[in-house]
Amino acid sequence: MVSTPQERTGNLQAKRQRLIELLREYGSVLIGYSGGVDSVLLARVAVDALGAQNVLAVTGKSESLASWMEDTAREVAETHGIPWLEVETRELDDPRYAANPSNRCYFCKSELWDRLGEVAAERGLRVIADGCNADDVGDHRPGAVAGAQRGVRSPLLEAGLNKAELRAWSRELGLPTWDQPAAPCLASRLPYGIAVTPERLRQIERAELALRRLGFRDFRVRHHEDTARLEMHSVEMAEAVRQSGEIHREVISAGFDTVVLDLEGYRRGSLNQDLSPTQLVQLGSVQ
Amino acid sequence: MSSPDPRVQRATDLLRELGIQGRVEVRGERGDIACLVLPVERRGELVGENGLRLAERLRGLGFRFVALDLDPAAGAGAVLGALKLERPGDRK
Repeated sequence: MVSTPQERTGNLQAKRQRLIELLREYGSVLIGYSGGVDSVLLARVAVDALGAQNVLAVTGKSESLASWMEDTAREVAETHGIPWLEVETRELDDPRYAANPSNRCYFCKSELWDRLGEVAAERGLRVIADGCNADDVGDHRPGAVAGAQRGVRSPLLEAGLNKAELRAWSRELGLPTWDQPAAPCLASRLPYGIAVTPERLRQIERAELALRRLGFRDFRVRHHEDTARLEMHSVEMAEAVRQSGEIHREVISAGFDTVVLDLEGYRRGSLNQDLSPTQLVQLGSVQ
Repeated sequence: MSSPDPRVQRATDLLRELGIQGRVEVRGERGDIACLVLPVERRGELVGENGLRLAERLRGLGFRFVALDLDPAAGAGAVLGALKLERPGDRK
């Protein structure tokens, strides 16, 4: 059944109101804050709903956090009056994470939420929340299990807000992240089974930083040991071929021997595509 | 000495059939990337629909990813004919 524009607007307003009500029920909240669209919007709305004294946005800092994400997290927090803290996380010290199994994110998020749980306890913040949204249901998200085990709430998801609605709301609030491409951690560029090491993460970061400086915006540098496989958004593919000389030089200098451009472009979760059903952990299936 | 990868000959035959006299190399830690080596001036022809159709056919040979080598020096001297990429429905 097709809804009318008035019904859609009413539905959206109800979702926004539901989010604000949830936050007010929390009273105070610590938000896992990556500097991405979702957690930035959540933090900003939480400050409006609860007052800055009852909100703390915390970024987990490790080698898997891209420098541009750290910069965005810090700058947005400063500009929009969001209390912000950076906490060091040590997921790379955990051999279960470093081996890069298909549930790698579970070990990373376990470390993150444990560290953030300590901060919440120290500061007297009652609830810990993440930025999962309604569109994340059905994705391969083993990290969500770690959150669920520790009572981490997902108010955007609970309110039924999807990514498009979060982007629109971010734009209304003047948040610079409203049109920011999805930006998972740097380890997501490594195929499962290739160990996550600080050196490999640095190679990926250096190559992606160079591509950003060349003007590209929505892409991934997938790390296949000696080979960097670039997945570019379809609108940036032709430009990537035009700038192939510069791209090749920069990515080689980041520490790869071969640089190739994937003909099928950027696909979200392309390294998950061959996982078996027993390896997939979907957000909607987490209890 | 390892035996030649049979996928390479099949992929090369497919390129030739499509009018692309480029080269195919196997890359990646698991040998799952078909790397197409073409002269710089012909790479743009494989962006978009042409590339998507070619990738689909090469994946059918057992590769997981299909990609263009971006080395400016790679593929120099290869002679290419006109691309003859057909739509999947056109296949006999």
